[in-house]
Amino acid sequence: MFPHKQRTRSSLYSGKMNFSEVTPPASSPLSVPPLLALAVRPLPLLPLEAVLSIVLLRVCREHPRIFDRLGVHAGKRFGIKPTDLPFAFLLAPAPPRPRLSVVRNLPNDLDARISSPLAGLFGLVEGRLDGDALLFSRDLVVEGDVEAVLALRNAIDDAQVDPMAEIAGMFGPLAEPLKRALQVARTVVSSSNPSHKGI
Amino acid sequence: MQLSLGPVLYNWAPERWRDFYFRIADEAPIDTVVIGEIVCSKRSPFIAPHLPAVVERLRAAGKQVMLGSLILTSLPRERRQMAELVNTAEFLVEVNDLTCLKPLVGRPHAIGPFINIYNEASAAFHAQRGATRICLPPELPMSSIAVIAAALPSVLIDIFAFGRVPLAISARCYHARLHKLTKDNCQFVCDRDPDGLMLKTLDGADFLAVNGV
Amino acid sequence: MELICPAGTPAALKTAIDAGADAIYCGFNDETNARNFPGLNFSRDELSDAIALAHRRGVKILVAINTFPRAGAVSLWHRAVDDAVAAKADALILADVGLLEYAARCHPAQRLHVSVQAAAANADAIGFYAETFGARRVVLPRVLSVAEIAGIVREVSCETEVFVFGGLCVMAEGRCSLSSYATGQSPNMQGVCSPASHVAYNEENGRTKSRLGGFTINSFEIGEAAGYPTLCKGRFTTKHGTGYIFEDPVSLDAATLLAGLRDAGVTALKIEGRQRGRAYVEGVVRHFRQALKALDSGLPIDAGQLMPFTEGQATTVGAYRKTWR
Repeated sequence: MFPHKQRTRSSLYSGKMNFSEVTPPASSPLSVPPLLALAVRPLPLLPLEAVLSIVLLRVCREHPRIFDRLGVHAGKRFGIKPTDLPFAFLLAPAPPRPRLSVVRNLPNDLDARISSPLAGLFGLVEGRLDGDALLFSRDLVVEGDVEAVLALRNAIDDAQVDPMAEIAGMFGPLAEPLKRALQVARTVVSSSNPSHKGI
Repeated sequence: MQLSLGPVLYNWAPERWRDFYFRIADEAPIDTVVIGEIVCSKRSPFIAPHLPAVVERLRAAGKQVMLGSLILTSLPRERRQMAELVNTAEFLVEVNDLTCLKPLVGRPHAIGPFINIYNEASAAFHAQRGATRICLPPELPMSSIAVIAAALPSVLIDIFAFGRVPLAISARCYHARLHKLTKDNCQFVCDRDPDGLMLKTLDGADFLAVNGV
Repeated sequence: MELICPAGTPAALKTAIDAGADAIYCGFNDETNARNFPGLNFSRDELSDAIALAHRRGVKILVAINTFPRAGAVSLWHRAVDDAVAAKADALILADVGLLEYAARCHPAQRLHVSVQAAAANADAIGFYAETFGARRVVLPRVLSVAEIAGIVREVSCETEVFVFGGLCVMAEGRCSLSSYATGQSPNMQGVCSPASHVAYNEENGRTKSRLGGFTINSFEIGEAAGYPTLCKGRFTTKHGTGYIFEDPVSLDAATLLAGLRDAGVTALKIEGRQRGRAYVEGVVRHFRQALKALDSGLPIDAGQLMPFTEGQATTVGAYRKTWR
């Protein structure tokens, strides 16, 4: 009917996985390989939470403009669910005590809920992925207060946060295992997406 | 306050269009009637033969008659149509696109609802160039209407009071698209929906009426 | 041809400079511009810093003040014009005749561009803006074919700028109240189309339903590509069936038409997307910078690479090809 229209599925995330013995996840090519998801399942959440809380405080201290961009939405509670991991994050960025907790299950009384494979969430924080593009490809799902999520996304995109550098900038026994885990996750995901090129 | 009747926006059979205005002339307590095809330039030739009779009947009944200009003018043919329209000096033209404004500057004219007048400054801009009436865009809140009307006491301000609100104009014809036709070869399928094509949401709620472009 | 790139944040602006923008357009963080989204846009200080940075890098900054001032509050828009001029903006992108008149009167040396929101779609309308306000450039509405653009360029005295990538308004810009009808907020007044505050996504029976202002405007299968929750790209039902009545979720990509646009005499190519992230700005700007280089060297232009950034993971050349209508 409209011969001028090109229509193809996204080819961005269609790279083959490196683990030939692992069945590729059906849900999203962005997903953490099941082996890795399995590996992190027994991780205790409290140390992770402690590390992330410190990262969050560092980020907030170094990027105060985040709160200008969040405006009233800083007072809201965001549930962030990596769809390929057995836990989720609860973010309450309100100053003076921004909080990031790690939970097995998200509570129901959140203002907004953001779900995406970990690589998608990581790419958003790093500014390597575009939030709207993830929404269009359905690799990102937003429920609840869409406006608050938009403010959060724009605030983070402007802040140019480098989570790996933030973690690397920390010393202490708790940071190292997480840093390693994140590096593994990132390496695996990046190598499974050779066409990524920063998009 | 006066009552104005906006132009027929749908593709009616020419005789039905003519008879509608004859009835308005004979029966309706309306002060001003805007006529003309303002939606789709391809439809204009259909009503053209009946225009003189309609104008005469409306005027005989004491109505002020205004000619509405096209809302979206992009083709050379449409520009020629608009140039002709503004040259018919005996009518007050209701300008719906700035295309035909230049030759009207300094001459009394009306600004239609498809010109973006959202504030007193843009209303004054047009008043200074000869606009004697301004029909405000239907999305304007009452507070803005009050400010604009107060700022320009000498300009007659029209506002939408009843009927469907025209919400958008496009280069694309949705009637043609629905019937898998191109706009250039549309076969005037919009005449099959003289009251617009009803559009419902996926939940079945009445939502919009589609009228060609 | 100049490459005009979007920036919704200072970080995106830096990204656009690095990726090869000739000029960047942006707006203040209030209702004076047509991308008045949460967490987006520039404070006065941010804009001054951004312009200083851009000028050091040889890049121009165009400030969009392209909503229609609210009656009784016109001074807010006047202040935006004054502040953008004071910050040394290279041009102001305006839509309202009252505001154009103010800018032309109070800042006669300031370069003015006519916003796409003014919907100046032919040589007469464009000529009116150029002659009345001394506007130096017009951003053409997305209603014209390449041949029609060529005809306009031949006739008008000012420069023309056309959209080549990104969101595609299906209705004539600045003349659409669909968002207003569903949400009470509009691009012309509040600078928002289908504002996020009125958008809801719900998972129902394995499908994702999108609602705008309480109206269901689409329903997606799991994994089915989506677009922005705008009415013009929603699914609706008529007596002829259910589907995309106005337009599919799809974005504009005119990369394949660059030679035609150059030959038509177009001055500047514009990328839509001030609401997008750094990744989009980086990917799209770099792609079009390469495409322009290829064009200059007579090499073929890669098309389709930007598909992942697009609504519905699909592209169209829109009204640039006549049959779209």
